Amino acid sequence: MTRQRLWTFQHRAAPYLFVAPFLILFCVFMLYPLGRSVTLSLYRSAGPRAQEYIGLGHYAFFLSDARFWTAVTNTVMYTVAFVGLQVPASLALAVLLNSQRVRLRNVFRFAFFAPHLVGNVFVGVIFIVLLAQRHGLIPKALGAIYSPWLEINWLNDPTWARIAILMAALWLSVGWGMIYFLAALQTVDRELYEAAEVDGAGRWSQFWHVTLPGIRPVFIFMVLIGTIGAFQLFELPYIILGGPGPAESALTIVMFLFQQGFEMGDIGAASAIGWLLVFMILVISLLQLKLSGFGKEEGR
Amino acid sequence: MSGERHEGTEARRQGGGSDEATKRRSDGGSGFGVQEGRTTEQRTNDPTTDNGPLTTDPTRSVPRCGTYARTQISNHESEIENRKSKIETTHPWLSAMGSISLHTVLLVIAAFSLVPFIWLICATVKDQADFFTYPFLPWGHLGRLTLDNYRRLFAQEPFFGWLVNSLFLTSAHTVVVVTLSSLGGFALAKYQFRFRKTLQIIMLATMLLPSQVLLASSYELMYRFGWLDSYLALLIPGAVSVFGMFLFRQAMQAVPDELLQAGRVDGCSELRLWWEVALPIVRPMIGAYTLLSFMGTWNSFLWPQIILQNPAKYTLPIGLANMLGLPQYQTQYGVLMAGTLLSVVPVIVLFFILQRDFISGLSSGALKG
Repeated sequence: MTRQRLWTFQHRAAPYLFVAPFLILFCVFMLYPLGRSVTLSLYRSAGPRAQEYIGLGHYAFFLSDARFWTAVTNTVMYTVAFVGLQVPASLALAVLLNSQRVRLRNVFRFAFFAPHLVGNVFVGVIFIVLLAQRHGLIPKALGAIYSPWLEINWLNDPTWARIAILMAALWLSVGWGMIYFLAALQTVDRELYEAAEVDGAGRWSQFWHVTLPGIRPVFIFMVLIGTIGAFQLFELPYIILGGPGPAESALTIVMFLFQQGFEMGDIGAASAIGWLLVFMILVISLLQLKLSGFGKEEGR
Repeated sequence: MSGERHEGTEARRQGGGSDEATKRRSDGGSGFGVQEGRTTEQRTNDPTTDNGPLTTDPTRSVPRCGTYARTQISNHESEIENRKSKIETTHPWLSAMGSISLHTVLLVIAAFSLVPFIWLICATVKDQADFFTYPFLPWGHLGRLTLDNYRRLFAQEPFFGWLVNSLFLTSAHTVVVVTLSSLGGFALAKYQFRFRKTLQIIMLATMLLPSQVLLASSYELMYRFGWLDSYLALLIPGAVSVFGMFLFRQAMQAVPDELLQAGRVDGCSELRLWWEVALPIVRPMIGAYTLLSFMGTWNSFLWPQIILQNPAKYTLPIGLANMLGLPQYQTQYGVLMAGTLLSVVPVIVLFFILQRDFISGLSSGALKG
């Protein structure tokens, strides 16, 4: 009898028990800090101990702070450049690799994906040396094409420093995006291509009218993920340029947050910047979803 | 990869196949589900088609049509054959040219992608004088190659300690996170319980949040717990992965209810159902998520940078970033590169082990989007 009861109990309680460890940790380390960061953003603090209530003071201050806007401008410029280059490049690579004539597809796929296995910090260290003025591999290779390029001072010139960060970021993530697009391309119905071919559609119009509509959800997903990720840029400039870079050309929002919170020690300010970041990401994501008409068709 | 997918469909068919497929289609389910549904359907009801979708419908309606329609159709068909044959008769040497140029383009891109790796390997075995003199290896003087950089790395820095720390932290974290996520995902996918919907909505909302908003308040929490400079701060808060829960929820939906029911009849406890029935079915997802989680922890920088203070407790990214700041490594680039190479290799090895699972698991995750 008790055995029977124990049996029904474990069946009834199972889902709750399975979710419980996750739920407890989720509440303590996710929901609580989330709420706490709202109240924390209303205080000025020096380390975790000394705190002084200032209301919306942080928000008012940062919204009129020149350095904060430098960080926002830098981040937005980087995001536009990164997503604008990464998504088309990944897609192009996936289309090339998806061609039925490709031999050794798995070898190529690994070759393109491999950089993504290297962490941001390690990529940063590699690129510092690759970019060393006059001696690094990249200036040497560029100098062989056009000799003045040998003298480019990659890490000390504001414009080149930004390009350097972008290069490292693209090396890291184009192959990663390709994996997603490749998976999406393989779900597009082959018969649609045959039908298009029969109707006399060329390669280019097949791409526009069959491929792109077929992979639309993944395309939108990649733009969205790319944007959200790019907005959180921190490690690459922090490692490659050792901080905000020449003339603060690579000061990003997260780097600004890190400086305010953990170099100057005002974790209240860091929370406020965090919420400003959340707000910006939210607005841009919703805008992108709206522009792409996501959710209107197909009842997804 | 396609092999895996076929296995999946095969399993579904046996467990009440087409019924399941139509159900999934009608609830508009996930992209992955829709795709599988479509393949099953094609297999079952179109043995007649071999010339593509255009011809099937007209042929079926032939008996009802008049002669005019019939001739129209046959004209149409011959036109299609005509065009198809035109497409197929491109000159063989032209297609060979296309194939060569395609592979040339791919090779050039692959070179861009792989050269930094090759350069890195070469950089670790050159001595300081040759480091910048030769872009790759000093071909004329191969006798000058040396393992000094590695020796110095282990002698000058507690690099071995960092490597052990990283291996320990990353494996422990991965085991915990995969266990909790698969258990939670199983419950979300296969049980009806109260607050399930609410929980999922809250989880989804937090998934879009940039984690940096939690940085300051989590730091304060760790300070209150007394976990600063402790591995607890790296292991415990990170054990929650909303993303992992959703991945496993997605994968676990493929576990047939009949199989679970049969297990219950045989006297399996719910925990054993998870371990012995559900986990083997979602094996590719375990592989994929293990790699994702391993990579994430192995490479993570910002949180450990804030938490860890004692150099003996550093992980590899923190250790290397610190070496960058030291004046002696402004010249000893070889040592720095040796450290970088050794930090990258473990992830690549794991990738090779889990490659098959990773690609198929990641693909199904992508199509969910």
